[in-house]
Formats: sequence, C-alpha cells, structure tokens
Amino acid sequence: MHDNDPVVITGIGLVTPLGIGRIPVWHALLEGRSGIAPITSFDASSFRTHIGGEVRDFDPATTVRRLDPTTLGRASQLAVAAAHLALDDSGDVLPAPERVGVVMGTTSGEPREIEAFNDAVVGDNGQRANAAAALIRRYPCHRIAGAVAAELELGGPNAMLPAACAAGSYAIAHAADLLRAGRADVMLAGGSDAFSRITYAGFARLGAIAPERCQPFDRDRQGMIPSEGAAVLVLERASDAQRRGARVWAQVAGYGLSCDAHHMTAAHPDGEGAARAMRAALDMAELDADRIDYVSAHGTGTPTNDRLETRAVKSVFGDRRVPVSSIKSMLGHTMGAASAIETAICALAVAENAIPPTIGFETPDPECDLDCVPNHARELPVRWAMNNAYAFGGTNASLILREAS
Amino acid sequence: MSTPVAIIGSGMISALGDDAGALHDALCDGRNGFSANTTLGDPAPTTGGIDFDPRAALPGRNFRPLDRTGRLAAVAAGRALEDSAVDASDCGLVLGTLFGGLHTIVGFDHRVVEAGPAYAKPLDFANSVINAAGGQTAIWHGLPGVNSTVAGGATAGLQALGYAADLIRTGRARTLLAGGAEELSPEAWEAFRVAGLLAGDDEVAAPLSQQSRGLRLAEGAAFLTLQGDVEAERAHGWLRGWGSAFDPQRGEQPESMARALTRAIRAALDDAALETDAIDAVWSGANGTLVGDHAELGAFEAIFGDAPPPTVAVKTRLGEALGAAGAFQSLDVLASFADGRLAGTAWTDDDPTLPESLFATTREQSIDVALLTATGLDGLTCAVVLSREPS
Repeated sequence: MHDNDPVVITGIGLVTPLGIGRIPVWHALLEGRSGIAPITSFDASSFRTHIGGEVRDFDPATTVRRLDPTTLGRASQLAVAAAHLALDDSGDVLPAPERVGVVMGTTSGEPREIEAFNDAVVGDNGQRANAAAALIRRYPCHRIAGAVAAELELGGPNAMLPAACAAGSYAIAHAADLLRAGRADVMLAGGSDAFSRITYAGFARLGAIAPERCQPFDRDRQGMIPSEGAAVLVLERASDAQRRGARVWAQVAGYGLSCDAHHMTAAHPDGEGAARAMRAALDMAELDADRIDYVSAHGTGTPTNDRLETRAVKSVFGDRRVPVSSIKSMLGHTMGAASAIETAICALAVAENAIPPTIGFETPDPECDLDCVPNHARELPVRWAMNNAYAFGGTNASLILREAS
Repeated sequence: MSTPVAIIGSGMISALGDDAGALHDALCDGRNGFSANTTLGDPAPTTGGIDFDPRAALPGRNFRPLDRTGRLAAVAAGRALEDSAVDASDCGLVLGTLFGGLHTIVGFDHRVVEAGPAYAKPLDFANSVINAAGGQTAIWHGLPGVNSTVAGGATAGLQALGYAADLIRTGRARTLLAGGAEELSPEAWEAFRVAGLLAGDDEVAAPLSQQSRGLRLAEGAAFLTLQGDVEAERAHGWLRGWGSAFDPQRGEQPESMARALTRAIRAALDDAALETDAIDAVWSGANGTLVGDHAELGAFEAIFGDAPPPTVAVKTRLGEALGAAGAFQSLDVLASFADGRLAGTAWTDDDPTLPESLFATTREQSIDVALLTATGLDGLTCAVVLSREPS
C-alpha cells in the first residue's frame, strides 16, 4: 500500500507483571527476567498449578484520577493506567477531545464481576443484587474502552474488540484504519485483561498450564502461564506527529486478519490461517518476507501452538532463520493485552535495534527449529518487525511495524 | 467522499419473524414479539424471547458446541449466506454483541465454585471468550476471512456495520456478514432488572414516550451481507456512511449524551457526503429508557431542528435486542426500501408526550435515504446512513 501519510506510534503505556511503564518493562525483557510468581489474587490451592503473572504494586486509587476507581473493574483500571502512561510518553498530543478515539481489545473483559456474582449466589452472602447490577455497570467489556475515554474525557470513536488473544492487534489495526479514514486525529489503542479464576480454571482444565515456567519452542515445554496486563499505544498520522515534533517509535505498515474456521481452541494443524494472516500483512505493507528482521511470536509455550506456529512461520519465511522470540516466556500470557504489549515491544525493537529473548530455552525441538533468540537479548538492526497473534475462535492477526522514516 | 458499500442480502432470527420481510410485515401490522418468558422465573416476565429449536434450525451436525448466542448467530448467518448467494469461503464476519455468552461464562465459573476446578467444563471455557459466537459461526459455515466481534451496548450492531464497511472500502475484505447477536439469559435479565432499566410487565415500555418506565429485553441475531465491487442490480441497498462518538460523561447526563449522538450523526452524514435534508426517514434506536431516549430526541432536534423526518422505532414491538438491534433496524430499512411502507411504531396514537415524527399508523411512503441511530447505556453512540441507490 502506498501510504503517503502513514500511521505512527508516538506513545507507549505498559502495565505488566514485569513492571509498570515502558522503560522498566523493556529493560526487564531485555534482561530476560520473568514476571511469573505464586498467585496472590485468589486462593489457588485447589488447582494443580499455583503460579501466574499478576501486576504487582498497582494502586488504582492513585492511578485512576478522574473516575472513581471503585466503579471500574480491574481490566478497566489496568487499561486506564496504561492510557495515562501512553499519553505521558507521547508528550503534548491531544487535539480537540472529539477528535480523539479509543479502541481496546480483550479476551474476557471483567471476569471478576462474574466471579463476584457466583460467590454471592453460591455463598448466599447478601451481595447478589449488587453483584447482579455490576453485570451491567462494570462487567460488559466495552466498559474498558469507555473507562479510558471517560477518564481522559475523549469524545471520538470508541470501540471494544474482544478478539480473544489477538484482540490487541485487532484493536490497533482498527484504530489505524479509523485514522486513515479521517474519523479521528489521535487514537489510543491496545488491550487489557485481568487475572481471574475463570481464565485460570479454563486453561487448567485444558491441561495447558505449565507448572513452573513457560518455555516456548523448547522440546520439554509444558504449557502456557495465565497472566494479566494492559498496553495502550498512542497512534496518529505521521504528518501530525511531525508537525508537533513528536518522537516516533515506529510506523504501522500493514496488518492481516484471518480465521481458521477450524476449531474453537485448537489452531489448524497446518497453521494455514496463521500463514494467511502473515501474507496479508506483507501484502498490505508491500513487503517481501525476506525484509522482516524480527518476528514476535504468539509463542504461548503449549506443545501444539509452538509446533504449528513454527510450521506457519516456515511456510512464509522459507529456510531463512529470521529471529522469532516469545516474550510470553517472561510475561506469561496476558490474554487480550498480549498482542498489544507485543506490538509495543516490536515498536521498541525497531526504535532501539534490540530484540528480547525467549527465556527458559534448554533443549532444541526438531519440530520448533526456529531461531527463537534463546535466553539472551540481541542487538541488531531492526527495520521491519512482525507481530503474530492467534486466538480462541481461530482468529489470527499479523501486524507489521517499520522503523520511523 | 467514501465509496458506498453494497448490501446484497440478509438473514435473521427474531421473535417477530425470520427474514426482513416477515419482520417488516409484523411491524407494519402492529404486531409485537413479546410473550411470557418461563425460563426467567415465576411469574414469567414479558420479554422478546425466541422459541426456537436448534435441532431444526441447525440440522445435520452437532450443534451442542455452540451456546445460545452462537446458535442464534449461526442460524442468522446461514440465512444471510443463502439469501445473498455468496460463497462462504469468500466471507468474513463482524459480529456485534453486548454480553456474548454471559450465561455460559457464569455457568462455567459456577461449577468451579461449587464443585472445584477439576469439574469445570472445557467446552464452556471455549465459549467463555466474548468472541465465541463469531468463532463458532465461522467454524459452522466455514468463513475464513476477517473474524471480529464488536462489543458494545445497543450500539454494537451499527458499529459492526460501519467497521465492516470500512474493511471493505479499504480492500481488507471483499465480502462480510455484519450485524450482531444477543441471547436473553437469566443473568442478563436479572442484571437489567436490578439496575432498574426494565419496565415492569404492567408498565409502559415505549420508545420516545415520557410515559415509558423502561425497556423490554429481547434476543435474536441478524446479519447483512456487505460486498465491494458489486453490480448495482444485485444490491438491496447501500451503506453510505457511518459515524460513532463517545460521551465522556458515559450517559449520566442526557444533554451530553445527545451531543455525542449528534457528533455521530454528523460524522455519518459527512462520510456519506449527504446533507441533512437528504434524509427521508429515521430509524431511531430509542428503547424506552430515560437517558437514551432523551439523547435520541436531543440529537434529532440538533440535526433536524423542529422538522424531523418520519421516525420508526422498531424496539416498540421488538424490544431491546442489544447486539442484534442495529441489524434489526437495518433489515427493516431494507424492507421499507423494497415495499414503500414505513411501519407505524408509536405505541399508541393518543400519547401526547410522543414526538410528532413518531406515528402509529403505517404509511405508504417511498424513501431513498435512511438514518439509523443507536445510543448505548454507557456513553457509546453510533449512526449509519443507508440508501436505496448507490448515489
């Protein structure tokens, strides 16, 4: 696509189990640290695994400034925090508030509100009416994008895209299109999910949770690790960013969206839908796969995902060993936030010419013979980065970022 | 000016009929879709629930992996594919919803609490993601294209249409089913009830009336088939423009909400490159709740002054079907394009609090351009412009 006025990323806000803010998270990832720890937000003693990625030292009372934080669910609180950080990072960005919109993604929205409802029903604790009202007032996931806009008093387009674990990428792609169509001048876009009993129980029941650590692409990988977080990016047209002298992290060069239409929780065995999304993104960016310098993998660390993803990557990149790392090895799987966080990391990779590692890598797997940037970050020129995300429902998203011109 | 996007077919399931013509006939005849809903308690409250047999509606294969939202969506999508005679392998899906499978998620967690995590149902977990109905529908019909769910209140359906239109205009997709689905679950009904949003069974639930005491919940699903590069004769109508805007007060004040909807309508008209006087009729998303209805009236006044076009409020007879509502409105517009009738949707012809633009008796009136509006509970607003001809 010949894009005379491309969409650029000028602000990054991150709220993750590895820290809060762009700088601490980026440094922790380059150092190969893990954010996984014993679960504290609910009693996990009845589960077979007991670890997860929770955001620590997060105080909604100081983070949420205009709204009453007690009226927001946790995913909304995390999203609002990430939005403040992203705006701070982008400098003096805001035009008329009616020209600023919000698109957010999520997997589960505010599942803790459902847990409170069930606790009230099963425990007969006298809270049923309050908990039921919260299913309207706090639970609906569009409240997350609404909370960001209400907190920052933004009156432009507002949308919530619950595309499960590809949601952050779906949100960023939609926001970029809203900017290109002139429907807004600045967009905040990203994803958010809260750590929850529901999500943990679901992945536990699927037998997908690793007991100790997440080791994507390792032969002995034992699964994913549920986690939480939020990322918000500030997007604007390059001409506007240039006019105000903004620092540009990266350009959004293309995206591809597809659906396996195969199975709700298992990817297509050939990785066909995933490959289709990658090719669509390359087409939109008018780019040959050889030009991609870094691929941020979906890389959950489950035996199946990593095998299929390897197949899909190789079907697009051929025999070239493009660096492909999974930051889920450090952050766990932050669900709807994951692909937004990973897009932010791709932006930093092209800005800083460094790529984070896949940690926990010990034993090569012949079925995952990618260059997964094992255990140590790498410095290299990164002009083009691709972020891949795959989700329940068979939904796939690939996003391509390029260095700022 | 943005390119018009062709609407080449539609499919739906509702308490008032299973295609656009049946829905339109029911609205024109003054029938409603309300009945006693015995699944919600005793005495059974009045809702726009659907009595449907998934075995008959989804024949030949195992429909059990789909929850109610997924089944409604799959049925409506199948009818849209058939009506528009498109190849599923060329199609994607954009689905609007508020709750997705709320009942499924509550049920999944209920077992975790009551019996322990080992007894949770994996299948229910697959359906616990809010895009589950979209994914299940894609699997059922084999839709490999873009698959996206738009979550919102009653605005989600119109948002889905606008989002899909932009995906087609920019060449990201060629054919998309766009619309929405919502199931009427006990949990959703309880939530609306305790939040004070429902009219009681002996109270008035009437869009745009000051006598209204709330809304009636409904369910269903509907999709429009949108396609780029179409010969004009295949189109039943055209999506000309859309706009959305947010009220940072989140619907707490009707005036602020009206300003947001006004911005959304102006954006839709700009997108369509049409002036206000091109609008022949309005399909209002009003549902009988105080703030939302005030916002709709306030926006109409800001846009049209004291001479608003004739207005249709389908929720008078359909109820509030949330994620499916915008697609229901759209299907009635297409039927009006086809048969030159505007359904009378005032709940009575002797309510002096109703605006004059809303009428009770169905009219013979040919229209070329329609404005559709939606106002959510939480600050979301959306507007869409449809037309009979591409220009």
